[in-house]
Amino acid sequence: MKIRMQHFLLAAATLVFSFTAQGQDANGDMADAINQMGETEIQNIQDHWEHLENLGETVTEGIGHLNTAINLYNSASELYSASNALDNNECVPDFSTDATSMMPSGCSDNAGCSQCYQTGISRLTTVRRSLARMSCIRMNIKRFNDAAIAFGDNVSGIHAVTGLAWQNERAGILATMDHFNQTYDSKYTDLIASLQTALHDINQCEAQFGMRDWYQRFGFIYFEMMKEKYKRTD
Amino acid sequence: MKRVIKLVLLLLIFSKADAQPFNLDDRIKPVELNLFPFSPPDQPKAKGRLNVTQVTQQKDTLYFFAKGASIYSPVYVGVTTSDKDHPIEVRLCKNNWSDFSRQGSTGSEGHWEDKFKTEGDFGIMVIAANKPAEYSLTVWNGDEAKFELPTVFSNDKTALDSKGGGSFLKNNLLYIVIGALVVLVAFLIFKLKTKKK
Repeated sequence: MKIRMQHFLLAAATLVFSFTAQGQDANGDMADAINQMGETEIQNIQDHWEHLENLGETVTEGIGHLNTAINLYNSASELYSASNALDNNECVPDFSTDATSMMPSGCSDNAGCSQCYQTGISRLTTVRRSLARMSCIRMNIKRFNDAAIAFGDNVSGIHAVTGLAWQNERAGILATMDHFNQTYDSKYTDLIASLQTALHDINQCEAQFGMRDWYQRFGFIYFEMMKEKYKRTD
Repeated sequence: MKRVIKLVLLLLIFSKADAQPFNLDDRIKPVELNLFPFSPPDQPKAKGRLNVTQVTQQKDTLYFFAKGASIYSPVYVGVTTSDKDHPIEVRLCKNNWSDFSRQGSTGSEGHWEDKFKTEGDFGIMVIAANKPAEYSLTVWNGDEAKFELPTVFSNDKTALDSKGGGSFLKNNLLYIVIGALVVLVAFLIFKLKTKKK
């Protein structure tokens, strides 16, 4: 009986301790409670999207607001187009083409020609999207690193020890950027080769349905313009 | 095509330099928000990734961050509290926690939301004046939008020389009309002169 009592007291003490440990942080302050929903719970929301129950008032209300925001638009791409970049200085892909770099096409109302074009145009679209995104990633990383270095340089001057630690961190950031630039150059080469393939595909269709020597006359100018536009210059 | 997608994926993996808002302060310990695949059959527009988090905040400021957004996909962040008398301030950060890109408050409605597009990671700072503050945080990242790219073709028909006759006629129509008029005038003068004789 005595042993059972001891076990009970020990268990009770452990329980009280663990409860206190959860409720307080290292400084003895009350700790924050952050409960992220797991995959199963998210799946539950997905399956009962229109009839959410037992999720808590704020969660149900919050998801209702998300639903309302999405329903303001006819499609996800419309919602995307209505959104601006998070940061004013953030790079957003620019697909506008200089009028002088546009290419004429002999494929207008011909069904056979459209079918022939599909492969080339699809590849061209993918390459354009990829090049624009890759270029923006590079610009954003560069801006992020420049901002981080400026921020670190300013803060590190306050304390000598912090300054030493920052020099290591700074070297790491610069090395990462160098490595990233190398990767960019390598991917740029591959994407530009893919662009050329796409233009040659279009050239073959032009020769069949539109005009002869299309690549030599028009495609080549566009190709050179794209090469220059996305080439890393720093 | 798969090769191109792989290349971009590789580059994105490599872009880890573009991490969560930069931070040198050890006291700031941002919590990563895990976004799970989300595809409600009743709402196909909402297809993407979702995180829902319930928070009871005891500290003045809590820091959260989400990873892996694409510049081609929309992002939604919402904060909802039932305590409408004590607004919660929200800041969205990109580069570091000192410079915020956007800010707002749950106000008297008890809700704040914003939508945007961004590449990589972004941070969410939640500042509570009255503690403990209870709220839910909703972060949704839609699938990449399939939007039409502006054409690179000018559809300049005058440049066509493909099928001969038709294009030649179009390109030289003005000269042909002038030539015909000259011939007509010459013919009329010739007729007039022969009549006089």
